[in-house]
Amino acid sequence: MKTCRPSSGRKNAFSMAIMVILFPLALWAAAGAEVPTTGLDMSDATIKRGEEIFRSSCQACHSLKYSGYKARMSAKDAQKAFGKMPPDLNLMTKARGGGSKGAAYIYALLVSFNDTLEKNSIFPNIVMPPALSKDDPEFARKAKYVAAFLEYASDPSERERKSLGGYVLGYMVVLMALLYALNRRTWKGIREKPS
Amino acid sequence: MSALREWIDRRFPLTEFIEKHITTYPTPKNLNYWWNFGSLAGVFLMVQILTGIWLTMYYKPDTNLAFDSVQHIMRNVNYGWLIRSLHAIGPTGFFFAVYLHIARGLYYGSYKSPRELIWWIGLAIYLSLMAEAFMGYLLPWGQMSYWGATVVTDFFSAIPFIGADFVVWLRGDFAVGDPTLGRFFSLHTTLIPLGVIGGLVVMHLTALHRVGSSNPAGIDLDKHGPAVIPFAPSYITKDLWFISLFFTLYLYVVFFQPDFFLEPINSEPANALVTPADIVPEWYFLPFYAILRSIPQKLGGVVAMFGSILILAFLPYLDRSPVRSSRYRPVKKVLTWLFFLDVLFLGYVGLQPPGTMPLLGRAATSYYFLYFLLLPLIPAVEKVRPLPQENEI
Repeated sequence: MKTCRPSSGRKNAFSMAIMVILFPLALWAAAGAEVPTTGLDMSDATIKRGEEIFRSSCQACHSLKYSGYKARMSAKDAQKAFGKMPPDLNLMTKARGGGSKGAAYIYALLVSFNDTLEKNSIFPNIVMPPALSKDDPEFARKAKYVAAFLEYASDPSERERKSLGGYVLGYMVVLMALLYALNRRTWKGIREKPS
Repeated sequence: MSALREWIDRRFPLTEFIEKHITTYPTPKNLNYWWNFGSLAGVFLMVQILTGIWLTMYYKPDTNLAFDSVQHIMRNVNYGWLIRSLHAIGPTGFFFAVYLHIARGLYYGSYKSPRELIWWIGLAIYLSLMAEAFMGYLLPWGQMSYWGATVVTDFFSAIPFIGADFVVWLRGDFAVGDPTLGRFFSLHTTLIPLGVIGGLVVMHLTALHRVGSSNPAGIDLDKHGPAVIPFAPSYITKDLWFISLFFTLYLYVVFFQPDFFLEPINSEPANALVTPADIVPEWYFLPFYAILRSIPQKLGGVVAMFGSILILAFLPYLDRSPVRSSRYRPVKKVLTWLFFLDVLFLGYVGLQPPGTMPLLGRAATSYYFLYFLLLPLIPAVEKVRPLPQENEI
């Protein structure tokens, strides 16, 4: 009557399969691999340049309240000029999808002013006038710098997070392997033991 | 050490407790990995409580300060971003573990006698967990926090006669506002997690340790018999390695994809004048959201939604078969797998904008309830496969 004995071989195969899937993932993450959603140039130089452009071209109307930048325009003047206060931009890229998606939104908005001044071709309902001059040879590049800076401003802990994350996942993989080996040892002979 | 242990044991049953509930607790040796999700859920509960205690030190439950205080935690508090991400992504792991834990009970008939109370206490934990997650979601005071709470509290306006007054009573105001935030914060951080959920978990485990774990074969095992082993060390190491596996995945999301399970629009502060284009619940509520929307009448939808969870409480009586495990029940096995796929599909429907695929949503809702109506009828047509003996396990 040996009909329904659970096969321990099949279960070991299950745990092995999970380990095989997880190991490369963890190693890849531990190696500090760039997460594919952020295909942006987020170098120090880019962010610094974006910050300069933000101060000269955006800060007149927009604030970054958590990064310590106040809009130079008063709320009263903004009300008069646009009918409302221009939004704070600290979390704007996150609110528009985050990562490269959020940055792409900022970039698209900045470069979509066509020949008709003050009419944005992608966002026709916004009242924002063009922030960057179209005649500037660096027009598109500047828009990218600003997008990168705003993405940085939305999540300043990103670098620390990813570098710490590499160590944490490396630790977890080693811990998991040890616990797995320990578990194999504590179960040795239990399944096979004849009653 | 042993003198200290003796001193304590004369005054408090420490050794007895550890032996009874951990080291020598008799556990079936044939448990498969589906029996690992209960302890995983327990660990997620502890993570939520610990990170929550730290967040409470810096968070401000005030409609003028709440949103900014979360950013203060993200930017200025040492490792605040880590604590907050752990707490914001924890529910995804928690609900994942709880859903697989419930699914295991459903498939292996763990709700059957003598484990009805374990099942009902578990359902109460699940309901409190939903309330806990819902109230916690308001606290960041983003657009989805505000509108999610507005929509969900508005469900109760469907109650005949007293509905409108009841909603005002729930919110503490005519619209979701400062009184709502204050009471949600209080309940989310004290009564529900520590009192209700904590108390229910203790009851869940106490009832479990009275009757012992069920097992994949679904047969009663003698606690001193050959198919039973002490909990330590084998099940401790099995739980530990499994927990480390899921925590590797969890920590990957926390460190590398912290926004993956968060709604982008919640990065905008709550604004009562601007309704977001789509008000979408968190993934773990989607199947019930789909059931709500599949009934084209408000009260009916709300009743169906709550009914879809409460009907689980009747399982011990709906399922009349003496055989617990679906392994030996070919008809229930197929219907239960279909039920699992149905719930997944309902989740997919819940993710779509309102009005899309109304017929498929209704069909999926119908099967959800039909499953429970079929359960009492299955034994009449089902040819049960022979059960194993205890010494074969």
